[in-house]
Amino acid sequence: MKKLSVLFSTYYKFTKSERMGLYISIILFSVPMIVASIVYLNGVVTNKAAQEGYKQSDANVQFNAPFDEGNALKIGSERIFDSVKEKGGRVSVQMSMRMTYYKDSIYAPVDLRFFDDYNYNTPIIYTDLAQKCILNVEAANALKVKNGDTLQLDFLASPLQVLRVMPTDFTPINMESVGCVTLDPSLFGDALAFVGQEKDLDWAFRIDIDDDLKIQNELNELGQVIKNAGYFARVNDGIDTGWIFESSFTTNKAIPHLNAVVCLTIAMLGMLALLHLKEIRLSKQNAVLRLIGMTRTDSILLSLFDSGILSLISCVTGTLAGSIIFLFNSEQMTGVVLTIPALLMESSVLFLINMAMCFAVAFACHLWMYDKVFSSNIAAILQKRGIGIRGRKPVLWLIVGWLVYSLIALLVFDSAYTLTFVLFALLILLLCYILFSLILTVLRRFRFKIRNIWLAAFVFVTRRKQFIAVTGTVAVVLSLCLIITYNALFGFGNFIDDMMEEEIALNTAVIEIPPHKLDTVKSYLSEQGHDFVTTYTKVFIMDNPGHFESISLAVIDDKRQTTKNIAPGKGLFSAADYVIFRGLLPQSKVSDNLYEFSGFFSEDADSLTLRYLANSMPNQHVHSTTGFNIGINYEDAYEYIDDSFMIGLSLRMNEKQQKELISWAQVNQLQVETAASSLSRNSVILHYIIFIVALAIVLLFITVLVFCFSLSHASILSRNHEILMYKMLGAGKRQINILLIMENIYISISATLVSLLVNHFIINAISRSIVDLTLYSIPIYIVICIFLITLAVSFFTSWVAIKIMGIENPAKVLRV
Amino acid sequence: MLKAEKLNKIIKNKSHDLHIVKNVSFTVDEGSISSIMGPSGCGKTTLLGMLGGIDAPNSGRVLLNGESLYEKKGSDLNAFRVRNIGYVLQDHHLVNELNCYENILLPLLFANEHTYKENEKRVGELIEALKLSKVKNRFPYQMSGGEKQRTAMARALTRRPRLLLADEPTGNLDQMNAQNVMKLLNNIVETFKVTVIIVTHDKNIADQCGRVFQMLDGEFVQ
Repeated sequence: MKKLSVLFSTYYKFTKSERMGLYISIILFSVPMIVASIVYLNGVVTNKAAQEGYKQSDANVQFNAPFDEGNALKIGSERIFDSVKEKGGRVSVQMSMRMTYYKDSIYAPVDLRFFDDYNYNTPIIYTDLAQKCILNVEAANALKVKNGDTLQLDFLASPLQVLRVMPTDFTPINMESVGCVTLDPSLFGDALAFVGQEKDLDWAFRIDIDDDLKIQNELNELGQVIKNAGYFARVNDGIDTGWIFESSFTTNKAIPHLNAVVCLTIAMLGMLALLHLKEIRLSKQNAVLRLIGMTRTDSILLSLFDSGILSLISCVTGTLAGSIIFLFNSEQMTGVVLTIPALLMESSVLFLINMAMCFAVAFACHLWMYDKVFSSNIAAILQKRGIGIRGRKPVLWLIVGWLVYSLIALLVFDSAYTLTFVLFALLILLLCYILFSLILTVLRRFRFKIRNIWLAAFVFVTRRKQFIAVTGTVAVVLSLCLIITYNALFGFGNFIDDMMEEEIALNTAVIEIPPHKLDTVKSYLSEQGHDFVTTYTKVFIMDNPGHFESISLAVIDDKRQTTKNIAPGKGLFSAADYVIFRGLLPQSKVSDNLYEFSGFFSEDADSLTLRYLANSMPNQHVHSTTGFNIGINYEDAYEYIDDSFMIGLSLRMNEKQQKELISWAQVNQLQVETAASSLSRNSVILHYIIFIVALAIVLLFITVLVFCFSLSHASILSRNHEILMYKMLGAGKRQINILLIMENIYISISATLVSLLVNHFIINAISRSIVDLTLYSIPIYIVICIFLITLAVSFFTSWVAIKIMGIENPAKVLRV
Repeated sequence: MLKAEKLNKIIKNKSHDLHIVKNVSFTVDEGSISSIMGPSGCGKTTLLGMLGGIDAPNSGRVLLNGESLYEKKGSDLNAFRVRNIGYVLQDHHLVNELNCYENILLPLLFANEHTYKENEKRVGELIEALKLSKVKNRFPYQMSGGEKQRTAMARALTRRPRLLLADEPTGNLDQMNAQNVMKLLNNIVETFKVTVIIVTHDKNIADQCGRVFQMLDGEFVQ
């Protein structure tokens, strides 16, 4: 016991004299735990968020079953209804109309000729409003109305009563919307829905499920709607909540995971670098201590103190820091309030395992380092002949460390999928290192004459192969992080837009025809062997406010599977090859109206989807970008609708208590204020994406910190003496600055170029093959930003080296 | 001529102050070679730092050819130091990434006073004088201890200083190499008309210098 006390006291004294090194060690060793905590907690909340996406207030489970432009309920909804039916729930339905701003006016992008066409015994919408609307604050201010006021909109026959003025959701999509008008409550019930994007011109049904058994009537009614719609549908919308949630979550997970892996890898590099530096110091210390009589057991005990205490402090610090960052971030960005008790209740066991494993990694890495220290040749060290490692022993502890690290990846990231990322990240790092070494080796072959200080800096860079390769590699990783963050920031909006429009349809084809040419089209289609199923009308908002233009779309039953048979592989297509016609232009015969669309085929899980945007259509004044689709294979598409969402829905009914664990504060607030218990799927997804972006930024921030610390530390240790020497030799501040600045510029340029290459040729290839996601090309200003950030970070480390270590006085070199 | 007047150096510690150099005064003639000798820890290196303008004394003056070093401040002092004083250190401290030729050239690049051709000529002369022709393209890790030390001397002389300060220049060398270095230093004094001060604890080396200052506990003793 006494001996232990002496040893601990010795360890404490050693540590005290190396305080700076200890702090940096703790920070570096904490990083994996911070990242692991954030990513792990993110996983927990993701699941919760996905559930919350379906879950609503009170006892009801409610969700939106949006209609497409043709007012047809999406295919798949009936299966939801079936599920509801099985549960004995009640469905009550109400349509709502969404109003949007357009050129300082308010419009309702709705047309109800659908009902006319099918003799659906429904009065025209304009006369059937419930005379109530909900406005957002901005709209209410613009219109100078408040709760209870009457509002007359140009496009409505009857005035509306302002039911509620509510705050605007901060998501871009909802900011465009000014409010909702309730429609025909006598037919559809008394609820209200906020749904869809302005551009989709969506209708919405809200379905309330409670214990009443009145579902059948409503379902019948809906069934009629579905039937009348001719099954023209965007299948994914039928399961849109589940599918989009699932798909966006899955895809978006890739971003923080990739980022996390990069961060972890940098942190691991930093840890190993730090341990390497420590190893050199400890080898000398160990040699001297052994020489003066310390036994091997004592050395091992001392090393255990070091490993254990540092790992424990780092682990606890990292866990706390990660949790705080996450909780703060989560609450700020998404309104998700996750309390500590909730967190503990949800995931305490796994979290502890996670923490224990991080502890194990740090501990194992340390033991690996000590393993090397104990293998050192004491005589060699004392004679200053290097650190004198005796041969290359199998690095058992390193292997153990990496195995545990892999286990963490599996546990934290939920699948071996991310482990693949880890391996790829390591491969990329290795590749960067090799690339840098190769470039430096080639450059070294050229015998540059050092004619001035600028060239001297260049020569230093080319000749410091190892240091520069490591620094450059870390800089590349930093650049890659920036590229990924750029993608997260700017690319995911587009990605989600695409995702919203990506649809799997049935073996129907859609043609657009002018209403007055319906008969012509029918006969043409008949000649072509297509059965005409139904038509519906699509409305575009025109440039001229208050005017709409209608285009009829016909849905045909493609029994001959024309579209399937002639479907090409992925790539550009010409719409004329398929049964897609637009009829807006004046025409004498249908075939003249074929229009060359640009678009592409993409392969989804089970079907081939044809996709293009209305923006590429001739009427460029169309306000919205609307997707048109042709499904190729009905059976495949139908199979694609799995039951996962329905199962999730059913489960929620029995898990009401979980609502207390997590709440979408803003949504709840909306619900309370407006009595609208529906949730915009887009809003939730965007919340989530914003959260992901924020998370990516936090991870990046941590990475930059690690980068700075590692580099500063290495720089301080390795450059201090060198810079002192320059001063001794007569270098002024200017020359030293030139040397360091030029060196940083050279490294930053190479790192930027290498990272662009790696991003373009490797990361993108991996990303495409694994998650079918192409990272966005980096515009030149982002390249410049990446370069400047890398440069700034490099400068920071140089600045730390010069300022913190006080190398102003070259007399120190005399005492070395 | 180098003149030191009542130089004192005190290093303040938490518990007590260390008076490392105490009232040291001496004069060294131009073009001479002198040594400061004494046991380890007696303050030789600190004194050398003060003489070289890189470690300001707490009190006292250092005059080089009549100009007081520490009356100059900041960049003036640095400019004066690098123009007039060269250093040779025990561990030679060559830049590992540069070869022998480039190491010698480096101070001239920092100075940026001459054209590249003039610099080349000056370095060539030094390489010739210090017999480094065979190793001029070698990197420090490819050279022997003596070669490294000669390279360090050449580097210290590139800017043709008036004073060359050598801190234990033979400390890491065997007797034969140490003698060679001393011969070189004597040649340097003759060839370049430079004043040399050597710090050493080796009596044999000290005896080869024109004048020997014995130092003990921060003071000069007879």
